[in-house]
Amino acid sequence: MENNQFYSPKTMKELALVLKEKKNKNDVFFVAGATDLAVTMKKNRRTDFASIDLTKIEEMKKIEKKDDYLEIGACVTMTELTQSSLIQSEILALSMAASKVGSVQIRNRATIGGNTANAAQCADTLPVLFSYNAEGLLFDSNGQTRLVKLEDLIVGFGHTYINADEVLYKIIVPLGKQKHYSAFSKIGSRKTVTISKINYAIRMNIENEHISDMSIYLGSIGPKPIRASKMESYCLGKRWGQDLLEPLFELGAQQIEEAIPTRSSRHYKKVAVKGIIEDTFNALNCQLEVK
Amino acid sequence: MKTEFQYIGKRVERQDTADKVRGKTKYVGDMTRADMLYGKLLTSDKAHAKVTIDKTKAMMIKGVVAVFTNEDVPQTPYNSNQWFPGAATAEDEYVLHKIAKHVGDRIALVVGETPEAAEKGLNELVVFYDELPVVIGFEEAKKNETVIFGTSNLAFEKSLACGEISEGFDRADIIIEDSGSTPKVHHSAIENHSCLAEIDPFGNLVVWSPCQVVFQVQHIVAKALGIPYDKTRVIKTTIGGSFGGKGIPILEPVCAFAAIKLNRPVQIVMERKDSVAGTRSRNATIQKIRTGITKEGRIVAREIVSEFDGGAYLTNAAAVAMAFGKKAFRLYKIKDQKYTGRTYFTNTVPGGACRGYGSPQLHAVSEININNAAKAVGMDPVQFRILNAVDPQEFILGAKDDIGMPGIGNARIKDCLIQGSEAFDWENKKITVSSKNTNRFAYGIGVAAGVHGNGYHGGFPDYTNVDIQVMPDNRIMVKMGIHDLGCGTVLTMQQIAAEALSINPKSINVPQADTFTSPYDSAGTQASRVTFVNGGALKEAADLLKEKMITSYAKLFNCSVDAISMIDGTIGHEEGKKISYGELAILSEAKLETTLKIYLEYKSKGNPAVYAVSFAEVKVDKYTGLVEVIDLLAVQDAGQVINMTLAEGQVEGGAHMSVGMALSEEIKYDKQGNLKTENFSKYHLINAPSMPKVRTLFIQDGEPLGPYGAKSIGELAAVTPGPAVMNAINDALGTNISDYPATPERIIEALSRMRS
Repeated sequence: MENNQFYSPKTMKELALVLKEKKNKNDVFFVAGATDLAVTMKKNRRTDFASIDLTKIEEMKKIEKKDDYLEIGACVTMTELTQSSLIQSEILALSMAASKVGSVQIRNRATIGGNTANAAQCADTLPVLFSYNAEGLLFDSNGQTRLVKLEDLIVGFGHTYINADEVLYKIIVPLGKQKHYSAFSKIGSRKTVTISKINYAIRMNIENEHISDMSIYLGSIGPKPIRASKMESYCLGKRWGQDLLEPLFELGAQQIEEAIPTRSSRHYKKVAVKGIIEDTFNALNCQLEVK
Repeated sequence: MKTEFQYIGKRVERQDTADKVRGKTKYVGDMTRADMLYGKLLTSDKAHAKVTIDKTKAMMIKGVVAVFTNEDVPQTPYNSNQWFPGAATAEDEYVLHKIAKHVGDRIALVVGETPEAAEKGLNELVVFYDELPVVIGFEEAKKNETVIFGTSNLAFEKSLACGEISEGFDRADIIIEDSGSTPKVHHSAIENHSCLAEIDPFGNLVVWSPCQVVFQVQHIVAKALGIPYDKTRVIKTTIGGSFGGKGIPILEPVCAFAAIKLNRPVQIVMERKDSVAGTRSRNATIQKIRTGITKEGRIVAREIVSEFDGGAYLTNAAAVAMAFGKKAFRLYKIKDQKYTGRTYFTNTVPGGACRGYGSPQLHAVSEININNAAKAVGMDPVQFRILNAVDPQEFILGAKDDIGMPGIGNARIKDCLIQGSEAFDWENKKITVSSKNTNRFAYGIGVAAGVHGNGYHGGFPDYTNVDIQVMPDNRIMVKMGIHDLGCGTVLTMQQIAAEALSINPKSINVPQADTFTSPYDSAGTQASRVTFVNGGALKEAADLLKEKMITSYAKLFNCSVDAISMIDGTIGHEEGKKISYGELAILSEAKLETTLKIYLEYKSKGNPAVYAVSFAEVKVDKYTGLVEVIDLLAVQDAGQVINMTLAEGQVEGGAHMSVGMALSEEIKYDKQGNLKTENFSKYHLINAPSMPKVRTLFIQDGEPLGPYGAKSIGELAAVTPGPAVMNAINDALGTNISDYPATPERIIEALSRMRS
């Protein structure tokens, strides 16, 4: 494998071959949308490196529904996630999150695999994927696959437990048997084309007008999204409605305080979290109305 | 002065539009030359350090041609801000620096056969920083424990005054005090700084630069490198935005040095990181303002103290403090007023021109203070401003203002306030705006006024030269030292000459500044002088040319001058023959032995004030602190608009910069002087979805000293929208935020402070 070469496998078999080559090298990088790669290379002033293009492999570009889970190829773009009717109907929060990533141009290129494997603390799809208990399907140089819960795979701040000869191949999202609701919101320095200061995903099931299951993740306040268990347990068993909002504001602030007790940004984030809690609350209300 | 114009005020289309939208326009970075080399600057990673550089490894990289450091370049200090040789300022910059004084300071240049080779060479430089104590912020600067240049970090201090403030404050019933601050702002031109230098076949140095003042570049390059001025040719290229950022030569001396040394063309194109860190910025300020008013709401006294963060080099330390101060005496009638300005050195990006030059900072805080003054006597902020605003000055050549500066001229600030508040529906909005409030969202409206100038007259030499000639093919050639910074300066000049001569603007060529072909211009395209001064000069030259054309025609056709008329490129006598201007030029040469040409040296006739008022409505999210500007009306006292499309573009663009300063733009450093906002993921401009539609309104009442009544527009446009937004935020929330920008964090902090 030589520097300044561009490898473009078209099948999983070819991919396994290049992964074998990649195994013992530290100057080989995957490229899908290149929206992170280009920035990183420029920042680190790297002029000599090899790249493996993942965008020619059909299996990695599909969204498929299987029984009670969804398979999302790692090279599915943010625009595709935003516009896919399957994603919209099955994992609305993911569509919402993807629609808030970067600009139109970025969303046309950036992929869910990149957003996941790049493991940025502000990654917008991660809180959603964590809240769905999503798993990463990894493919290695021997053509073997392994399935790891994303929350366990991601270390954060750019690190993962993906091995040198592995590639994130697909994301598997369990959907459960029951109808569920989900929403996403984020806060950045401005309305659009902005990096999250906090992001937030909520998924819930409702039985007999009461919350029977709930999962909430807060992102950008740690190396990777943090589970807001206090908020979840408060809601469980309660009726979904306006009365939840004030207590959720309070608990949201507590979750922030616990996550970043010494950071000066907590003062702002403890208040701002109210904004995303209310945004998602309103979004869930809309979904419940059209039910 | 209402006249029917043929071309003035009309929406004539600029001739570079099609190429620009199709990406065909060539910028310096698109230019290539045979044997051209590529330069990459090494900029300092440390805010203050003695730098030692080992070139050995870099020189071994294939394709690296040379590495230059401070040891290689002439040791002649210069001040890049010096735009004419007679400006007396201390000089503290070098082509490349041995002591790095800020992160981003230029410390070496790697030159390679390809951009990649230069980049690799840059990576292989071994840089040793012997770190020195760092001065960041005003407090550190004032301690003088570490002195950046000379004997103190106080780079400049001066007061201006009229009357006696102690007497004024004695007459006041109420004194309103405010303090506030404004940040360092990056110009954010799409085109980063770039330059190309080469030696022509005659041995002249040719510098291609997207600059604002070719004669300043010529002066700085010739002085820094010790080469003859007359052999230094500077050509202004197409520019991808400047906003003052390219007003000061940064790359030109080092690029020219490399081209001379290597005797090959050298091109340098900066990256965004270096443009933010290593060029110039708007000066940050901290301000204290006291205003004394009577119960009736009349301002009787004011004291303004502003301190400026001048950054690591002297550059504009004096100029920005003075430009800021002078404006304070030209907006409201204040009998007793005093201003004190102080500029300090710090180990941060040096200060430089930035659209509005001091005005945005002055009005940022003083217009909040004016609102608080109105509130103190229970007056509407618009009515309070109308009560205190200056009146138009009777037209007297040589008139002065309260501190002896040139008169304010036909100052239509009151019209801006009155007509603007009607167009904005101020009275109605004032009553209804808060009815939109919810638990989460608060709505508010704000107004702010501002003043700016028209050139350097009264402060510095302000004159220009015009050479205008009728060509045989019925076209007009205008030679003058203008620089189109994207504002449409060329078209403005075409329309002025077209009006004077009655000929289609497209038949007039106005090439941009080139020190070998343009006649001398004393101050360049800056200080809001071009339409007023250069346009004034061109109109006068064109009028003289018209006279010469009429006289020539009369001689040639033996008729009286009275009945000769010039329309649409033809000249004729009511009973005689109609010929084109080109034919007249040919006949004049053949039969009268003269060229239809005028050469004029023109001194600026004044420096009238221009006024603006902005009205804003905002929606503030009390949870997230995010602000949405939902309505913005910008009103400008423009004298006479030359081209309405260009004028609207200027006002809309200025509003974008000003709202950015109010809400999100800020160059930030940590305590060690590391830059925290080196690119647009950290330095937040207002983007299109967040930008409101800007409504514009122009008051066109004519300025007697300006060409066809015109005066400046573009810089003033960046002054009042931000303070109006800030006043609207404070109106919505009941806060008194006066530190710019009002980031979400600052808004939430102000709200929590108010609650506790």
